[in-house]
Amino acid sequence: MTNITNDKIENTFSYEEYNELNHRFGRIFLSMAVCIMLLVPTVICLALKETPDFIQVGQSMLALIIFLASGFVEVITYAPLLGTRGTYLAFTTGNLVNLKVPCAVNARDQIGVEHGSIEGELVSSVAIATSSIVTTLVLAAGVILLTPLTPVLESPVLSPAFEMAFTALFGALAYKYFMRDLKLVPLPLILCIALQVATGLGKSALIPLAAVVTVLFAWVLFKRSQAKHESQGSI
Amino acid sequence: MMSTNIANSWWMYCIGAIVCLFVLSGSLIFIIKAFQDGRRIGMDIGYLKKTVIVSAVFSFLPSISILIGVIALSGVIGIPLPWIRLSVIGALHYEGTAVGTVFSGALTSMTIQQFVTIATVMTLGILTGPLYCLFGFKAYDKKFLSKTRGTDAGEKKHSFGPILFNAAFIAMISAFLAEDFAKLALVGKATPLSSYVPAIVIFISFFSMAILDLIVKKTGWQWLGSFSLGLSMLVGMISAIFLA
Repeated sequence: MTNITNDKIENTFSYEEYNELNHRFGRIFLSMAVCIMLLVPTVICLALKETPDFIQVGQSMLALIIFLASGFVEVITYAPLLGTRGTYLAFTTGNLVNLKVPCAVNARDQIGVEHGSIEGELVSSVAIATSSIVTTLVLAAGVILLTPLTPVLESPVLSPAFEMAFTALFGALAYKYFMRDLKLVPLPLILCIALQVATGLGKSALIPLAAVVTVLFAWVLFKRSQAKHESQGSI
Repeated sequence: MMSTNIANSWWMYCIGAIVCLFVLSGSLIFIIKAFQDGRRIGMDIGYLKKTVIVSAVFSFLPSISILIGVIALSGVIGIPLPWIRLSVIGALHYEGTAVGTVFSGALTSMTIQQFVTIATVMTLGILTGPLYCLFGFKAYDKKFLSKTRGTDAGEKKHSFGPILFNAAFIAMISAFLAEDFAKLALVGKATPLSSYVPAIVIFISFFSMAILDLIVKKTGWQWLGSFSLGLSMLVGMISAIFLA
């Protein structure tokens, strides 16, 4: 698609102004979401007239330390892929890696908008919102139909298919994104396989590590290519 | 011991319904605002309509997989709690681990205190992402991300933004694939589904995508492009039934 020109955007609002509004709107929405999230265990405790075992809560938090850290790292890693509004919405509705990030990226590609433009931002937020609606409706319908659906979904015949759902998703995505920049692929892939085999590190640890290494590698290649262009230009 | 009726009680379903309504209404507001802003800057609204269709198609199959997660956890903590948790900032790999740190066994052998402890742990453990997003994302965006954005097409062509984005995505996919490729070391020691099947499924969905991409390019059937990811995923999933 044709990108909206800079002049057209400047006539309505600047990117900074627009982004500021996005942050304000996103923060209000996310604050409400955090309150609702905290209300869930509170209401359960009040309804059952029982308090949590706080020692157990502390121990569990220690056991979940990698997830606590990954919450921080996820914002750093995925925000560039989600856009401003998309980040606030995705961090409310969850399922980032397996659904929201690929969905936003796929939508931007299908529509043909550039990452970092206002159109890209709009497409990304619509994609994440639509995805959240679909997931919420599927979950709600599934919960309503759970009893009659359970034998079908849990049937031994279909279970391998659902077990492999995310594997199949990432196999397909690999073709799509590896082909764009093949020279970036071997380093993270070999690094991740080696670390996985040698240390048994899980995805939550491998993703940020691989992201840092790949982005640095991409930066080096980018700088080299820039220097090459400059030297050719000066000749 | 706790009765399964408590975990699956009507008021737990009511909490789930409220959470559901919040997510649905919030998402609708995001869509409406995007359409309003699109009109304001003179963007073709048809592109945003297409985004809705493309994203709905894209999300359907993975959503079924998330539903399977609800079903999987329902035997341990009832139906409403995993439904709630997987509707707001949930992820199955986290929720399952969080439950496992407090309790392992069937719902019938769980105490009420264990149930409320699980609900608390599942909520608190997942909050770091939203909290950092709430208090740190704006500063991160201004200091770093805004520098990777360019509004001028010529400037964008030579900016690091798109490269950064692609590199991060390649890294994420690599980490996912690595976990499955590493399972090849278990051939002969584990079931096919836990050893070689994931690697084969990756190749099948990879090549399905390549074939569909080729068809789109050769025939010009752009509509097929919207379905190529979902179809490739489906082919990979079906192949797992025959391979397992």
